[in-house]
Amino acid sequence: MTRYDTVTRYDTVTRYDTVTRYDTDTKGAALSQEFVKTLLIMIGIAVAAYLVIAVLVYAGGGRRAKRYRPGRPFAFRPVWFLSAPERQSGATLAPGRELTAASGGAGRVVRPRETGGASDRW
Amino acid sequence: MTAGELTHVDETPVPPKPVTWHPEVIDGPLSTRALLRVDEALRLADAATKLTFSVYIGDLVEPVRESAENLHAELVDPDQSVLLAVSPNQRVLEIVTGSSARRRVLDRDCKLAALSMAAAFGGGDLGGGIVAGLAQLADHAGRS
Repeated sequence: MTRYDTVTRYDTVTRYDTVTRYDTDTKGAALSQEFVKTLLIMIGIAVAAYLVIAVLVYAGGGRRAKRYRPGRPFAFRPVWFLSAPERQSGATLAPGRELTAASGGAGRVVRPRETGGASDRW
Repeated sequence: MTAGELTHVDETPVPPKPVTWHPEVIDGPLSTRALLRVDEALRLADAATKLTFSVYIGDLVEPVRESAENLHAELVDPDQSVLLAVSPNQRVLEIVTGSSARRRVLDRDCKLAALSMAAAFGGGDLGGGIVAGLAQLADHAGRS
């Protein structure tokens, strides 16, 4: 079914009322198509921006994002720093020794004469 | 002689180069910036005092004090060494001084340094606490 809207205008040149008919059905279809297209573009832009930001966040953050917070589990590889390990004897140069020392050194009784120092907790 | 032909085989073993790059510290607890600061602080402390400062960051087995003292005993010259052992997960900090170092860095100086380190660690700043502790200990040890 085709429906028409009529608009009457007064033409100043011919001095007649002109009647224009608009095909509302086809116009409505065209309008809704245009509307859907615009809507899709708008939503598409928003989704694309969201995805780009999400990719940047997850790609850039990575490993260094981990941070020590007291009371929360903090997974890391144990390290033992010396200012000049190459000038120390081979004891500290053996690869991996400093990493296993904490767990393996319990049974040994190699002590200097006396040690001092302090302890603290937080 | 063609290209690739060996004319002389050097039998003398090449002395191993000192290891200056340890890729495993990247997986360690400190960020790159903190690593650089700790490295600088260690170097300055050693140079100023002629003691050997070392920093261990990792879990300590119970009893914690014994474990830290065992680590300290593994250093080359324990008498002249100061070890800062930090266990972030156990939230424990131990400072161990050797018998000679103990006369220069008194136990109460260690306690003071431990307090400021624990304050920084409590705020989540591992690198800053270690740098502050090293600076204080070196300051108390004075010039050699």
